[in-house]
Amino acid sequence: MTARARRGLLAALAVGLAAWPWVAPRYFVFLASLIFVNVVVALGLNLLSGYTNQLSFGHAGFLAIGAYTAALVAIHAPRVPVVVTLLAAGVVTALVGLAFGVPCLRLGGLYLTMATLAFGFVIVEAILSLDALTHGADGLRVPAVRLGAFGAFGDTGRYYLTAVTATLMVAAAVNLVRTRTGRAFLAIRESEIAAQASGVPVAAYKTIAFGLSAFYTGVAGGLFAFVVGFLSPDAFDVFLSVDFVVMIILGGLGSVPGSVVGAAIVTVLHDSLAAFQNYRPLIFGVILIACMRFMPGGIAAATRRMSMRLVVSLVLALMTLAAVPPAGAQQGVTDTEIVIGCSNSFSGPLAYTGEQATRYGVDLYLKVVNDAGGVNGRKVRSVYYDDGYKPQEAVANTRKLLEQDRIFAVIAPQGTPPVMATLEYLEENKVPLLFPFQGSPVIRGKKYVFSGMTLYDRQSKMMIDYLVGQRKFKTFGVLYQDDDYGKAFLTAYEKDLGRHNLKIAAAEPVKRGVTDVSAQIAKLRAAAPQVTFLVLTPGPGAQALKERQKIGWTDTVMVSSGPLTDEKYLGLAGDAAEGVEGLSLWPDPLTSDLPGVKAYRAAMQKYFDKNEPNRYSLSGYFAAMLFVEGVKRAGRTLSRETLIGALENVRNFDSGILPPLSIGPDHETQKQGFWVRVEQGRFKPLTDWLRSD
Amino acid sequence: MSVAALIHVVVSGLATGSIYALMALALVIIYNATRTLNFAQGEMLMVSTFVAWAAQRALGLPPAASLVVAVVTGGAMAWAIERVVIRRAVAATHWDVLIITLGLSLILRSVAGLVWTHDEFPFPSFFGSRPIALGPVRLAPVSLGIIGGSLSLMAVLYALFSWTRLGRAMRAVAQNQRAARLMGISVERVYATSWVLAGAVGAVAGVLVAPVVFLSSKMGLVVINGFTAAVIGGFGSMPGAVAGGMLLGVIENVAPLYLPSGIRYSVPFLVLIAILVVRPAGLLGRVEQRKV
Repeated sequence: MTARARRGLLAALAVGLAAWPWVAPRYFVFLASLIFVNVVVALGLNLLSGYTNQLSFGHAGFLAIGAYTAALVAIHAPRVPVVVTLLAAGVVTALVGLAFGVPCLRLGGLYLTMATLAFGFVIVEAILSLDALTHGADGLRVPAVRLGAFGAFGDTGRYYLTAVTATLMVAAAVNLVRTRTGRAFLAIRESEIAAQASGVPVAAYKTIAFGLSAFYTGVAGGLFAFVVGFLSPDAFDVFLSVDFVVMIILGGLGSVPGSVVGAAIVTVLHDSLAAFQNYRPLIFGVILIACMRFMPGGIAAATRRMSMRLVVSLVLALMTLAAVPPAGAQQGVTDTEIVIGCSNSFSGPLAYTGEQATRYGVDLYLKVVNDAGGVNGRKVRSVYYDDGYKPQEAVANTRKLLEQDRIFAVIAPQGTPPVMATLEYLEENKVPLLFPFQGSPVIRGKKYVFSGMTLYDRQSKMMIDYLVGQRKFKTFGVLYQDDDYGKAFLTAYEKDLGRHNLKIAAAEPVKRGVTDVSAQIAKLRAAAPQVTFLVLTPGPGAQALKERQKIGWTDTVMVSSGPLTDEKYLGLAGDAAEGVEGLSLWPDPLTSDLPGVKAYRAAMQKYFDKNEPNRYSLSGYFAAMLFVEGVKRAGRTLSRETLIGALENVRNFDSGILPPLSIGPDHETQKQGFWVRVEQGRFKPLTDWLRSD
Repeated sequence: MSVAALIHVVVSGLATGSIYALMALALVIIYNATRTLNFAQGEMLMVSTFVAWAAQRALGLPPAASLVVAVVTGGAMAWAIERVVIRRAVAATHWDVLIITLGLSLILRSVAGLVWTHDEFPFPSFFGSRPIALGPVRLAPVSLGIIGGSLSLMAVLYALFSWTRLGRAMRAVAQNQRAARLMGISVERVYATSWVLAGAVGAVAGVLVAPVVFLSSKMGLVVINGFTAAVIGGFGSMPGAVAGGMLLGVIENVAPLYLPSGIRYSVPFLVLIAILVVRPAGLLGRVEQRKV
């Protein structure tokens, strides 16, 4: 290709990229920003892996350092221009990277890989434990980008910020190869021993590569923080590092254009597979193996002599394809259809709950309604995307739902960090967020949010008032999950016990996915509380009960939180669950004679006969029921505003599942629970519905 | 904290540690033969345990038979993976195989989620969890059972590697592949055997640990503890893997007793990084000298 043609193509690309926010649908502007972020990460990872043969599974950790640095600078020094913030993110990450990398670089390939894997975990733990700075598991909201006279950046501003930064970083990487340092990298890549023999100080250059790689990834982290707008430790797990590895393997190790193409393809693929949930890791796994078996060296090697030319043509083609505006009705309502949906966990730690609440809960009731002719002549359709409990994916999915699928309302998403990450965006766009499957009180008092399950502080109030007031217990211990869910309960317990002039005797955190809780139980036992609260998920909850049985600890009453009081947990704990008490938010889905629960079981039998009834699907079913009630009341002239008005005026709605329910301007739906004790493997009610107000 | 309670916590840690040790052993067996990490080891464990559970539910097998099913599945799956995917990788360096096993782990977890959902299931145990009292100390049969079961398997492996022809062949390949080949050992057969052996060891670990952590698509993540254990012990050393696993299990359990919640979960990884920095070869490993 002649230099002139080459310049022409590059100019076309520059024009295309510059014009992008003005021609493309909103969602693709956001997606493009994500691609640019990932391009910078892929470049950084490739500097390390491609040129020095060191694979890293810890780049999510570097990204986290950059992201949190940028967020903290933006929060505490809002006047600092964004360029400085990004540089700070890069420099801090590079320093941490060097502090960690210099001793580790002595290690051979496999060992360094292991060390980076460990590094990723340590960083996540560090974010969790520095919660005074990082807000720990609750997550951190990132303020909007400011650049002098421009004021706060919107989508377009963020797009240009990422585009310009990524372009500069690509240019730097291309030129790096032509410098002395770049030549040294290439020599090391070809043969470390030969390089050493030719007088290249291998150790020094490896250190430089490590620092540069961390710098790139740190800058990308800063961009990531601004584009996503919300950070939480869950965002940076080892699977994110794996995604980065897929990018450079697919694109080609040691190739700058390869990094760009790999990052773009993986980002777009990841996004377009969001609806396929379980198949996403499957497809990524197949890509990895296929690359290794049939295309070692990735796309860059497969197309040999691949230059910027191909990248540019590909990008231009993709951009033309994407610039088609999405079809769909405004606000997700047509004469015949209402579209609702959510981003939820279909992979990751809460995959089971997510799938049950949506596909077997919300959808179950929608099937019943649609088969009976719909609501006011409209059928209700649902769309779900998988976020794997990561806030960045919840943001992307929610934007996609709204901007591409044009949903009417968000229903039954799950988990505090993913829900919190989308809150501001939904509020800006005046989209109702209905009945999230989480009870953290942070969602209270928002104009467009209606709560789902009884909020944790109300649960705590009912539990403490009942245990102290009626049962006369005096000493309490807490075993809680070390995240937003556990900590919200812990804070509420402390406050409610304070009202009775009591204190928590001992509180022990349990990490998600832990294998053994013997130490925590031993410590709690040493404090000898009369009541021990369990604020956990079914697996660890059942483990705690078994552990208590193992040490023969009988002089405490184990009390499970509302979300834990569930048949799943009883099934896992077996005979160790006997005598456990708890606050039940729902009637027994398997045996209750309430008409609504019977109807739920009949529907489950009819539509999903292989799926056992459980509380998660029951709660989703109830959420859909409440939504349909709101839509009915809003009448034919359905809009977001009329739905909110209608829901606010729900009075004594009899679901046949919960006691008659009224929603007021406080937007809280469920407010009750009742006390249960496990007898012969089932929850037996001990009280009528308790009140929390 | 009473001494009796401490003993219980340490024994629990040794039980968890035995599982880590078995994972580490499985990783080391493959590493010694092929010089690569098997990232899919955890998912292989998970799938073999799921298959055993499914067979048990479908056919009403006794627990001992489900152990056999798990071991056979683990071995067969490892054999198939080695034959179909690993061996045919074009010009495979150990990086390529590492990436391939990473891909396999994603695929296996995904498939397990599709077949069995991401739910958690109770898994029947050979051992009860009602405590036996030895004076003031209470010990759970399930912990002792895991430790005993793992130690027996380790003894079998020791015998295999020390006293059989196959074991000697495997050790020879681990020491020097070229020399082993020249001595008439089929290196390919050693590769395949190592994978099968690792698959079987992983399956036993799965059946032992599933009653404790429950059966779920997530249980494969235990492989990360296996890596850590293997590195602490010195990657490549089998006694090291056992020592590293036990040590890791005990550290994980004892750290929450004495350390504030902020750092206790970082301890295993900090120990790992510290060991890598101070003594990269691990507790019992040897530094490999590479000749140019």
